[in-house]
Amino acid sequence: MKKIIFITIVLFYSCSLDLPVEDEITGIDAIDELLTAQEALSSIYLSYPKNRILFSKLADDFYPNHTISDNPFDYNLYRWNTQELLFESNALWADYYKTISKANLLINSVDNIQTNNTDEKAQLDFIHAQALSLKALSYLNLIEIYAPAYSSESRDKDGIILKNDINSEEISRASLEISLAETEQLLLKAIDLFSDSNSTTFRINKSSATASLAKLYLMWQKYDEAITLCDTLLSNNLNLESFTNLWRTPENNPEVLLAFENRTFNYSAIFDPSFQEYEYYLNFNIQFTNNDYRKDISYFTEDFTLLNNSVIQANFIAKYYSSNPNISVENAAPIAYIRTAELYFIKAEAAAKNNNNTLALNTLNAFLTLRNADQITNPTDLIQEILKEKQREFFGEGLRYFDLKRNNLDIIKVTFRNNSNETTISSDDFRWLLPIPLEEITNNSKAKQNPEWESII
Amino acid sequence: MVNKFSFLLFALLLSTLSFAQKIQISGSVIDLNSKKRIIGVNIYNSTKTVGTSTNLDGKFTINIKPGETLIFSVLGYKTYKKEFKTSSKNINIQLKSNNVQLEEVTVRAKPNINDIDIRKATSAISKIKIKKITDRPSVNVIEALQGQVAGVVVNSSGELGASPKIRIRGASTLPIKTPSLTTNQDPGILDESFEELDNRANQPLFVLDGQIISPQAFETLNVNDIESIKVLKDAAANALYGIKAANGVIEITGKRGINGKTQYSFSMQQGITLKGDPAVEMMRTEEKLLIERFSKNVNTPGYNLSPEYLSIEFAGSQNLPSIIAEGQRKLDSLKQINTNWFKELARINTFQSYNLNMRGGNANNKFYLSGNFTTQGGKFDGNSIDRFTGRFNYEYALSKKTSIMMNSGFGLSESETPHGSSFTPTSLIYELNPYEQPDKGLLVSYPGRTFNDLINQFDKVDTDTRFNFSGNIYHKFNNDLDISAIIGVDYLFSNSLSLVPRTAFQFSGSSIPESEKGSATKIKGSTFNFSYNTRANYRKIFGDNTILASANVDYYSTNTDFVAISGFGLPSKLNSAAGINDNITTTARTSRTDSRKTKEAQLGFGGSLSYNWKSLFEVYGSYKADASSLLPSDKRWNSFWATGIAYNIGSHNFLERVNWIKNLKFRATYGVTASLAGISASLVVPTFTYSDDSYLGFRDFSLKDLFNEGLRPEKNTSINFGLDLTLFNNTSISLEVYRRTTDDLLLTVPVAPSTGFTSQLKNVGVLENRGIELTFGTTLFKTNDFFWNTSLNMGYNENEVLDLFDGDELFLSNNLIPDYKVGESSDLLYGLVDLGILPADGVRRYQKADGTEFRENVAPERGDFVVLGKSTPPVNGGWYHNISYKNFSLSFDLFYSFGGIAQFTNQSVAQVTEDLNRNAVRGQLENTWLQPGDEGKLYSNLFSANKINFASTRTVGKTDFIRLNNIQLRYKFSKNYLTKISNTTIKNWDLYLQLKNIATWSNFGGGDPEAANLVGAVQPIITFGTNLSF
Repeated sequence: MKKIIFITIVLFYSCSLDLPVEDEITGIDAIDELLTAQEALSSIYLSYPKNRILFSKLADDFYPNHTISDNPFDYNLYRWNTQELLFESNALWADYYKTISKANLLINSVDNIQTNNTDEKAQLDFIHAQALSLKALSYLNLIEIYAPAYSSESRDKDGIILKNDINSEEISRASLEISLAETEQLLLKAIDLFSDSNSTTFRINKSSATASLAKLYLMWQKYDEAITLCDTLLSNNLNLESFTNLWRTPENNPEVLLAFENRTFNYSAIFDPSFQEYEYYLNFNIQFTNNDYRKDISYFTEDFTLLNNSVIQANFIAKYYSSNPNISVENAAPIAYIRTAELYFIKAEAAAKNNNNTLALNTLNAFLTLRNADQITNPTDLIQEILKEKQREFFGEGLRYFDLKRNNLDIIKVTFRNNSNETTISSDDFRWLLPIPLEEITNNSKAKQNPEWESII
Repeated sequence: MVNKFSFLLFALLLSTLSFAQKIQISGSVIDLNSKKRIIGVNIYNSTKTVGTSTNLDGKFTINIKPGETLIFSVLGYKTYKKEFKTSSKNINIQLKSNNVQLEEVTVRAKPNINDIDIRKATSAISKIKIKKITDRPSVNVIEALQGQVAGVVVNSSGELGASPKIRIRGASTLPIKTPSLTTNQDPGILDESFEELDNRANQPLFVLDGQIISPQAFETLNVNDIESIKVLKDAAANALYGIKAANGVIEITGKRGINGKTQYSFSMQQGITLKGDPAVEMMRTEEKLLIERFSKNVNTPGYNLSPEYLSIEFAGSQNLPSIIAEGQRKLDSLKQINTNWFKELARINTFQSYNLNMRGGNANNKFYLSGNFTTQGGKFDGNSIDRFTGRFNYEYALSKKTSIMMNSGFGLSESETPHGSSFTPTSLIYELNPYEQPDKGLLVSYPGRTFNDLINQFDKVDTDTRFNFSGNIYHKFNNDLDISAIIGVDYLFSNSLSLVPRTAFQFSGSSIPESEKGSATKIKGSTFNFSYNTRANYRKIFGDNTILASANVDYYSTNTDFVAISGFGLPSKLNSAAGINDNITTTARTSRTDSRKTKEAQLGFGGSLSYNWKSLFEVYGSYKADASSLLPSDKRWNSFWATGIAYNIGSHNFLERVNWIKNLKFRATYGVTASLAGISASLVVPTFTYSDDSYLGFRDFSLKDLFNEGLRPEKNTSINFGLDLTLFNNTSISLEVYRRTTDDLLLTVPVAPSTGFTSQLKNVGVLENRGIELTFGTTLFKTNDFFWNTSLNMGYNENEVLDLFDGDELFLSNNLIPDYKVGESSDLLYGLVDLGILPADGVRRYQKADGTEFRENVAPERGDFVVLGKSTPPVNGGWYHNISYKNFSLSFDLFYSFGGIAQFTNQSVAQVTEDLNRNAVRGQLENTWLQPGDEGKLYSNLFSANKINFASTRTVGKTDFIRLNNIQLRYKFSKNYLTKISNTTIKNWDLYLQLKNIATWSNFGGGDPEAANLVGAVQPIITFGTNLSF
C-alpha cells in the first residue's frame, strides 16, 4: 500500500506544471537573443505614432472647406473643441506610452542578451540605441504636447510621467526641467551607442538622434548647444531632385535623416474616402514663387466650387504624391520624419533667439538658396519670418503647431463656409496643453491634470 | 390507506393514544457468517404501521405493541421474523445471506471515487430524480435541469443550439477576465465573446463517473444513460475537487449493467415544435400606412403616395389630379396586402428521438450498452440540431476483492444556425412592413433590396464529436481499507464553418470588388481532458465510534488545440473555406489564420477525516492542496479546507416517542476554496506574443497583457447550514442557508495608460452571495389506485459587493454608471426616471438629480441615474406533480423566476420619423404624441431628434414568470395485458403524450421574460412517445 502511494506521488511530481502555450512565450527574460531583440524593436517602431498631420489641422496649415460639413467631429477638432481634443489626446497619450513601455522592456532586457563577438555586440548596441532614441522621441513629443513651452517661469511646472519599468505603479509628473534633462540623457546615451556609419534612414541613427537632440536644446532654450549640433549635420546637397524624391523614396536621400515605414494613407486625416474629396485645402497664405523648387511638388491647384457656386483656385497638399497627383488614389508612402531642412530652421531660430540675427538670416537665406527661393532681406520680425518660411517648407507635417506654441503665438481659425476669421486661439489659451486622459487621472492618483481641463472633463 | 399528512391531528392523536401501550426493542443486526453489522435493514411490524431501519452501525430502536412480530428484511438476506412480548435491549439479530453467489462477489467498482461516505452527513448535496427528466424532449441535458434543484439556475437564450447558462448559488465572480474585450483591438478569429468568458468563469465542474468532462461534453450526454445527477453546492463537497470546483460540482453517474437476465429497452419519441409566440404584435398595413403618412417620411409609401406629398412634389403639374388618383390606387392595392412576417418566417418543425439500450450480466461481468438519436428543428429556416450518442459500460470482477469498470461514450452532433450576421430572420420579423411580400418587389424597409437578398445572409454549421473513456479499478484490502483509482480521457473535436454568401447585404455596394465578396471562417479544434484520481478509504469502528479517513491524489489537464482560417472572396461555385481568395490586399478583407494550443494542468493531494458517534453526531474535516499551471511556480500551491458537523436528532431517544417526526438532522459546514476560473496565464506571468505586423521585415514581438505578478487566486469562504426533516413516511423537507464570500475578486480593470496598457487583471474587492434553499416533497394521496406526489423547490440568492479595494465605486469605462458599487448587488440595472411626455411639445422629460427635469435629447449626467433593480432574478424554483390513477399517470412541472428586471431591448418602437421605413409595434400611432395637447401618450414626438436611449423607469419591466415547462400524460399497460399479448416477453410498455414549454405567464412587456428580448422565446414542443422493455 505504501509502495503504491509512494509510486503515485513520484509519478505525479514528474508531471510538470510549467506548460507553454503554442502562440505565446512566457517569462520576462524572453528577449534573450539578437533576433528576438530585433523583433521587440519592431514592436516599438510599429507603435510609435508617426503621422503628425493632426497637429497641422490644429495649427493653421490648412483651411477647412465646405465638404467638412458632414464631418462635425473633424470640424470641431479643427476649432479646438474640447471634447474632440480630449478624444485625440487620449489616443496620443496611450500610443506614446505604449511605445515607451515597449522600449523599456527592450532596454531592460539588453543585459540578458548574449553576444559572442564584436559584430554581435555592435548589433546589440545599435538595437539598444534605437530603443533609447524611440523612447526619447516619445518623451520629446509628450513634452511638446502636454507640457508648457519652456521658460524660466514654466521650468518647474508639470512635465511628463517618466517611466523606466513596465509595472503599473503610480508615478507623478516630473517637472518640465527634469523631463527635458531625462530626455537629453537618453539621447546622449543613444548617440554614444550608435556607430558612426549610418545605415538605413528607416532606422534611427546617430544623425537623426543628434538632430532630435538639437530640437530638444531649442525647446530647452540651450541655443548654443542647438547651433553646435546643427552645424555637425548641415549639408549643402539639397536640390530639386532630392526634394522631389524624398516623398516617395526617402531612403538614401540626402534630405532625410529619419523616415518610417508606413502602410496607411498619409492623408487619411484630411480626406473623405466616401466622397473622394479633401476636406481641407491649404491656408491661402502659403504660396510659392514660380522659381521655387517646392511649388509643383508640395501642392496642386484645382478649381473648387464654394457654397455660393463661385469657383476659386485652391491648393491641395501633394507632398506624398510623386507626380501628377490623382486624389482618388489613397497612397501609402514612407513618412519623412526628420528632414535636414528642419536643422536649418532650428539653427536659424536658435541664432535669432541668441540675438545673433546675422547668423540667423544667413542660415535662412542659405536654405532658401538651396530651394531656389527668394532671399529675405531686412525682415521686420526675424522670428516671424523664420516661422513663416518653416511653415512653407513643412506644412502638413505637424511642426507648425509646436513652433507657434514654443514662440507663444496666436492661431487664427477660419470658418468652412467662406474661410473668414472665426476665432483666434490666443497664445495663453489653456488648450495649448492638451488634457491628460481621464483614465490616467482616475487610475493614477499621483497624476495631475493640466490647468482648466479638470472642470471640463 | 389514507395519507397521514393530510390528517395531521388524527395522527398526533393516534400516536399519543398508542404510546402508553408500547414496548421498546433495540439492538443490532449482523451477518450470520461475517458477523459484520448490516446497514439499512428494514424492520417493521406485520401490519406495517411501525417501521425503522438500521443505521450506519447496524443498530436500531423500535416501539411496538407487545406480542407483535417484527420482520427484518434487506436485499441479499433471508427475511427474518421474531415475536416480542416485552421490552428488550441489545438483542442481536443474525441474518443469513440468501444468495451464495452474491457472497462470492463482494466488491463492485465505485462509479465515482470521490463520492465517499465522509461528505454525505454534513454537506449540501442535492440529488436530481432522473426519472423526472428522462423522457423530456430536449437536446441538451443542462436545459432539462431547469427548475429541478433549489439553487441551480439555468437560463436559456431560447435559440436552439445555444448553450444555456448554468449557475449554482449565483455567480461567484465577475465576468470580465480578459483585456482584449475592453480595448478596441480587432478581435481575432478565436477570441471568445463576453458571454463565453462569463460562462467559463462561473460555470460548475462536471464529473461523469468520477472523470472530469467538459461542459460541452456534458451537454451532449443522453439523459437516458444517466442513473443519477448530484449537485454539490457547498465548500465541504467542493473541497474534494479543489481549484476547479469553486462554482460547485455536478456529478453524473451513468447507468450500469445488472446481474441477471439481459434486459432490452427501446423508446422513441416524435413530435412537432411549434412557432411559439411572436412576443409583440406588429402593425398591420392600415395602421402602418397611416403613421407613415403622418410622419412625412418620403421613403415610405404611406406618405409618398399621399395627396399631401404629391401635391407638393408635382405642384403646378397639369396632371396633378391624375397623379393623386394614381397614388390613391397604389395605396389601395397596398392595403390589400397584409403579410404577417412572424407566420411567414417562423415555422413548425419536428422533434424525433430514438433510444435503444441493453443491460445485463452475471456475477462477474456486467454491461450496459445504449444508443440514441435525437433531432430537433428550430423555429427558423436553417436552425437545427442532430445528435447521435452511444455509451458502453462494462464491469468485471477480477477477484473477490478487486473489480474493474470501463466506461466509454461518444456523441456526434451537428447544429446549424442562421444567426450571426446583422440580418437574422428573427429580427426581420420586427422590421419588414406588412405591405411587403416575400416573393415580389423591392423592400421599403431595406431600400434597394428584395426579401430574398435578406435571407441567407449567414450560415454556420457546428459539428462536435465527443469521445470519452475511463477505466476504474477498485480493490478492497480488508474490511477497513480499500483503494480505488480512475484514469480517464475526454476528447471533444469541434468543427465549425461560417459562411456569409457573396450575395449578402454586407457585400452590396460598388466599393467592394467582385473578387472580394463573400466570406468563410473555418475553425477546427480539439479539447482533450485527462483526469486521474486515486483514493484510499479507511474505516474503523470501535464501540459506538466510527472513524472514516480518506486520502487522494489527483491530476487533471486540459489540452486545447485550435486552428482557424478566415477569409473573403468566395467564387460562385465554391461555398466553403476552400474558396477563400488569398490574393486580396484590401486591409479589411485579407485572409487570416490563427492557431492556438494551450495546456492547463492541476495536481492535487487531499485528505479527509470524519468521526461519527452512534449515528447521532458527526464531525468532518478535509484538506486539499492544489497546484495549478496557471500560476508561477512560487505561488502555484493553494490549499483548501472544509469542516462540517452534523447532529442527527432523529437518532435521539426523545424523538422516537414523537411518531410523526421520522428524522431530523442539523448540518453545518464551513470551508475555504480558491478559484482561478476564467484566467489565462498571460494575465499572471509575463507573456509575449507575435502580431501579424512587421517593421523592415522583423515581426512585431510584444507583451500580450499587462501581467500582474502580485495576483492572488480568488478565495471563496462558504458557510452552510442545513436542516433535513422527514415527517411521517412521506414528507421530506430540506432547508439550506448559505453565505459565500469571494475575497480577492478578480476583474480586468482599466489602468493608467502611462503603463502602456489600458487594462490589467487585478484583485479588486469582495463579493458575497447569500441565500436560502428549500426543498419540499410529499405524497398527498396514496391508495391502491390513486397516487399523487408533489415536490417543490425554491432558491433565493442575492449578491452584494462588500468591498472594493480602490474606492466605493468601480467604473470599467468612462461610463455614466458605475459598474460595481460597495453595498450593492453586482448586477444592478441603472436608468433614468421617466417623467412622461410634455403635452405641449411631445418631448419626453426625465428627472435630473436635483429634481428638475431635462429633455430626452439632452445628455444626462452621472447623478441623474437611479437604480431600477437587479437584472438577475433572485428567486427561482420548480414545482413538480405526479398523479397516477390505475394505469394512467399525469405529471407536470412548473418553473418560476421572480424578482428580476430587464430593459425592453428592441422594442420595435419607431423613435423618429426616419425609423418608420421599417415596421413598428402595433398601436404606436394611437399612443404617439401627434400634436400639442395630446396627453398621456406613451411615445414621444416623432419629429424630435437625438433622443437618448438609456434604460428608464418606463423601458424596464419585471421579468417575473411562471412557465409550464413540461406536462406529460402516460399510460402504462398492465402486467396482465402484457402477459396476454406477449407471454412475458414484454416486461414494460407505456405510451405518453407530452407538451413542453407550452405556456408562460408573465407581465414582462419586452418579449420573452427569460431571455429578456423579443426573439428569445423558447420553442414549444409537443411529442408522442413510447417506452418498451423486454
